[in-house]
Amino acid sequence: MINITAYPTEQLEAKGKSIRYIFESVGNKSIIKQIEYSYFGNILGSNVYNLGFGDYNAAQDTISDKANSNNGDMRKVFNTVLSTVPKFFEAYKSASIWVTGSDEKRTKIYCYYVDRNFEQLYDDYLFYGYLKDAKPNLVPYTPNIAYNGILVFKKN
Amino acid sequence: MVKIAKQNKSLLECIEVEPMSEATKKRLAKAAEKMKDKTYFEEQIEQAKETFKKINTLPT
Repeated sequence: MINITAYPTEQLEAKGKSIRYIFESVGNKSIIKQIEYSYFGNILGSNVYNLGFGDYNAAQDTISDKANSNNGDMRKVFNTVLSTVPKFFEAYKSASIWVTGSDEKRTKIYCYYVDRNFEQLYDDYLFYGYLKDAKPNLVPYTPNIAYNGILVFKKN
Repeated sequence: MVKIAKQNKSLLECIEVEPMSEATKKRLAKAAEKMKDKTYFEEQIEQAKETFKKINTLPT
């Protein structure tokens, strides 16, 4: 069996139309990370929130979504991001989440997770894949296609 | 295969969240104080908006 543990998160005060969580990655070093769901538009009658995620640099007071932490806990960090998805949908049942990585490799990680667990996830969530050069470019998700983004809805 | 803790829970709800240590609580509280009034993802949000402008056909 795969160990699917996650770091505990703390929800920050609401800032505008966003939900924010922070947690501490405790690997080779301590890194504070933030997960942010930011409202940015509407599609199919649903408010869409961008899933943002990155490392917090306290000295510069910035967040980088491109940093390679190499903290030895990638799986656990990824699980922590995923663990906030049910919390998000608990608060915004009819909303949707736009998921894309800061680069191709990170986007592939999200797609890979959905591909590997599609049957189980599909019991509770509805997925659309975005292909930037296709027409139509937003289609019902089919596993094992290298999408450029994923749109996630919670099934009622 | 993944471990399912309880039935009637979605896969993502089965992720086991570890308890928070006192040291982590303190570090998060300190960070939260600095982060609470700031937004950090403007660039990503703009990119998402731009992408959504290009969606040419909605799924059926």
